[in-house]
Amino acid sequence: VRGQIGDNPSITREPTLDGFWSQDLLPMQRSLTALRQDVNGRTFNAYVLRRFAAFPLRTGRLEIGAPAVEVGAGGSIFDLLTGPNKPLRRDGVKVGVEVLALPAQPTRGAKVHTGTLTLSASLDAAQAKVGDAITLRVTAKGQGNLRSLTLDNPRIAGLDVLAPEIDDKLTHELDQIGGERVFRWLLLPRAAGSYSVPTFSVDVFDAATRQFSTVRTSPLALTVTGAAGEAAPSEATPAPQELAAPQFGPVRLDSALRRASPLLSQRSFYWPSVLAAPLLLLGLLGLRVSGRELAKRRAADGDQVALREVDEQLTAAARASAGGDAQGVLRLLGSALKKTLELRLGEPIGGLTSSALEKHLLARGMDPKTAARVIAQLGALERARFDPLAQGALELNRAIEGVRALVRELGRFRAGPALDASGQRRAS
Amino acid sequence: VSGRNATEVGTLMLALAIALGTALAPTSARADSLRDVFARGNAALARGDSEAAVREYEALLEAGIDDADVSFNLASAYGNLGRYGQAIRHFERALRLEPGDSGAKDGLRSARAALGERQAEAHGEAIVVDRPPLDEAIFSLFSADTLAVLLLVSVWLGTLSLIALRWLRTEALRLGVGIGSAVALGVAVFSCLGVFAKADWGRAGKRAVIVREGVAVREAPDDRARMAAELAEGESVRLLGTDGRFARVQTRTGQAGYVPRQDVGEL
Repeated sequence: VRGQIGDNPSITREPTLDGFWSQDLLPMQRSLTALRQDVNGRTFNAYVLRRFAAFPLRTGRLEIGAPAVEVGAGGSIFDLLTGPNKPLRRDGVKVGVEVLALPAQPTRGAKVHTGTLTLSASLDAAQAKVGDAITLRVTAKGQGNLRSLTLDNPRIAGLDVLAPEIDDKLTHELDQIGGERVFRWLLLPRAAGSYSVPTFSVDVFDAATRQFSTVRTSPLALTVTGAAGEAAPSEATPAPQELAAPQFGPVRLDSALRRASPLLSQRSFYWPSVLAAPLLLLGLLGLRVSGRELAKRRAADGDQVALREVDEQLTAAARASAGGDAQGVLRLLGSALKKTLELRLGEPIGGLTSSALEKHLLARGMDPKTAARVIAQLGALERARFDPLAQGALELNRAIEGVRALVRELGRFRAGPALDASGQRRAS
Repeated sequence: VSGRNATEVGTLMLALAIALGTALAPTSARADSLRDVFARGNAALARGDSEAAVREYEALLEAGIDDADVSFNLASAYGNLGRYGQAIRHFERALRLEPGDSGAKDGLRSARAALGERQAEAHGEAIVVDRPPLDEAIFSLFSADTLAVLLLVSVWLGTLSLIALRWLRTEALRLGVGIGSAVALGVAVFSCLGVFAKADWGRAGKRAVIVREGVAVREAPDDRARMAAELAEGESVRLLGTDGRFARVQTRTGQAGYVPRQDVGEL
């Protein structure tokens, strides 16, 4: 199909293949891919819908019938008003094939195969006893219509030969049909002796060189021991051709003869191996949660210690005030206030100037009034160290109360995310 | 004293060699003979002697062989003999071992159809159960071991992908691994249900089939006990246990009772 199509084309009439054996070369389930193709200067999308190999089964004029396809015109929102467009229908063209007869084959009446072929034969045992079953396997490998290849049942006096079991393994690499066809006969010796399995031969016509060649297997030897009549004699057993076809089967000749073993899910190691995975996941989750809890507890413990230190510093400041140690009071108050700030911010503030500290406090979410009070209090403490008038008992007690009130207020402050070196908030 | 010690060591070595020899030799001989038994069964089945084939294949089962091809051939032999209950039992066994075995599926269908026809001729009607229960149908394409491997692999894949998400930083990779872990855990749930279904967890007894026509289900393990129901050949039951020469079974309708042991075959 060539064209711009809005939907996958579907074949409404398959090409007829009377007189051919065909083999699909494309998988049944596949997605259509478009190939760009120029036709008379116009570019089309080309979609390959079918590709198959067809092997003519008789000579003369044969015809591959014209297929028909239907292509949806593609949906549109306006279909709601106008109804869907009618699908496009297109008929293909029929293809005529003149099938030539093969030239005279070298061996009259022999099986013929067109293509390439190799034959090999083997017995599963070279020695057997009367009544044993021996499998004769003939493998035909090559290219061409291997499914039409037949071999006559070998005729060996003294052996019953059952109808063959045939297995095909066909491939179509690079559109070349080939593979192998395996014939398996069951041989049942009726009497002891030495037997020779005759060769199988096939005339192979190579269409490329238009030449015949003959391929054949090597003869095989089979030795049967045991007195005649020891096992089921052939007189009691009808000839294979006369056997009624079994209602059930066919007989499976190969078996691994596996022993009964407990199911994998019933072995002792299985469920622990399965459950180990979710347990590992739960364990890791548990570790993570408990690690977080531990870190929180440690942080809380650290906060408690720091708060106690602040409290002790304020108490020590009150004692120093009663003792008249003004410098000690101012040092302790400054230290208590800075420690409280560091505790609340979770980072050191040493080295910041007053304006930088104020900016930082605002950036971390402190309300401007509190930030201004903090800066003012720190400034007042700093100035008081050099001002004898500010070192009186009354002024010192007022400073202690002021810092204590500020510490209490800072206790309610929850800092926002920390800032990185460029002043941007870090991701939490 | 040293001479006596040397004699004891020699005796011990000899005993070890004999033990080793007897341990190894029968294994090889047995392996050969099992293959011979299988070949004899095949030859008998191929020449139409299904009775002899059944004997050979049953001998393999008694020797501990649990193989789909042997079960298939045995089912075919029973089918050829018209013993469709046994044929159904062994085709089911073959399918339990190789769930995708189309030959066994066809054989099972044929055996059920043939049995249904025979029962219809005899009784004027027959019930042919063609569809398995839903859980069996869902998991019919997979063997129990395939599902077990699928569960093991998917649960570990899902878990490891979830753990890997902790360290992945690229958003596209995180999305891919996240979808992958969700799919793996979905497969794990599916295969886990399959493993439970295949192992018949939550169900009493084991799967079994009635292998004779018109088997009386009695209320006690005694031929004189009151008959509670009658089971048709090929009917599925649950085998709850054995009591002497009787087996305790539960029918599809949930009725429990006793049937002769030889009339019921475990799958």
